[in-house]
Amino acid sequence: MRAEEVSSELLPEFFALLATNLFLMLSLLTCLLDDRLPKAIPYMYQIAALMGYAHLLISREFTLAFGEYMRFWYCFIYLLVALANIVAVNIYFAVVKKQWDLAKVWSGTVTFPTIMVSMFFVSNYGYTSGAAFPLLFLQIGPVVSAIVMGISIWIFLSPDILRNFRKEVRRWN
Amino acid sequence: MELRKIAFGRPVKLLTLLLSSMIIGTASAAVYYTLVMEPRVTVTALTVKFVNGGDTPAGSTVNDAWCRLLLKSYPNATLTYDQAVNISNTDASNAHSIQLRHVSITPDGTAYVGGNFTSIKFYLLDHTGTQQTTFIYTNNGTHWSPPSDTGYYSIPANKEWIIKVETLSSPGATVNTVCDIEIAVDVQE
Repeated sequence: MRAEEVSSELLPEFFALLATNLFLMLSLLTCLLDDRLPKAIPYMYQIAALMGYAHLLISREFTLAFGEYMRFWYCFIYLLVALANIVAVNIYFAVVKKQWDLAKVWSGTVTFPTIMVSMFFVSNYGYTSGAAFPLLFLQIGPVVSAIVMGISIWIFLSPDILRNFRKEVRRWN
Repeated sequence: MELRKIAFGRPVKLLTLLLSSMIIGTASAAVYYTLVMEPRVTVTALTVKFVNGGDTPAGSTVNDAWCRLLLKSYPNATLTYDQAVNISNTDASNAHSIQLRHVSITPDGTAYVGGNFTSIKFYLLDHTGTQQTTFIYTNNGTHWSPPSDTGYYSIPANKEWIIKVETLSSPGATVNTVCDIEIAVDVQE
């Protein structure tokens, strides 16, 4: 009996690669916005991306020793760190710098798309590999991101809604 | 002073970071690519395998991946094994396709053997008993005519298909004449 099989699967290291690219993107974006951020930030993100590369190298050498479950979790945590940094920059613009417009643009063009893309790949990986982690949470992520993006587009297309909302808030106060 | 301004200006800084990003990004992708292309072989149980049929002859060996059937053939009388051996798809969720492929038949080209056998017919029946294909060896008195590949037939998930065999020898066949047939079952996973 002869068997023929063709299959392709997402490896857990894909999340480390994705996170590395997110750090590189952050580095370039923060370099463009260096007048609003500390000067060392872009270089720190380069170092974080370099750590991702080292992470991939180590993972390759110890593929068999670590096992798929462990490999998934340490790559996923690295991805979470990258996403947390994107959110942190967003919060920094909004709360510390009080630059609401920039924060809104950042959330619409960087934060939510990256979270959505990450959630998509993680849920896809969970579906194909049958990984034991809270799938419900991962499915809620893209839904929440999609709702926020939808509301953002709605507000963008009709700015009067936001103005009226602010007036209402002022009246209550 | 001017040189210093140029060296630490935003375009130079951005260009440096861009180059560095390209190098790190490419190197990371290359490492991931080597991981993807690294072959790994894991031993798993067969999903499509041979199992004993209702008429598997005594003394035959039926293993998951191969089987050896000790069939008889009567002179001038057709002997039918309704379930010589079965092929089971143990995959609970996926269908798998199989085909029968001729490998060898020995001895061939001798009138002694050729004159003793008329035909050896294999039938592939599905789980309902419906015939899907035939795989027939005939003899012209000297040479065997081996059949061509059957083409692929899909066994549904969790179903068992049947291989039925019919043997026939010529009226004056010599008792204890033997021929060996090797057939491969190709499985698409």
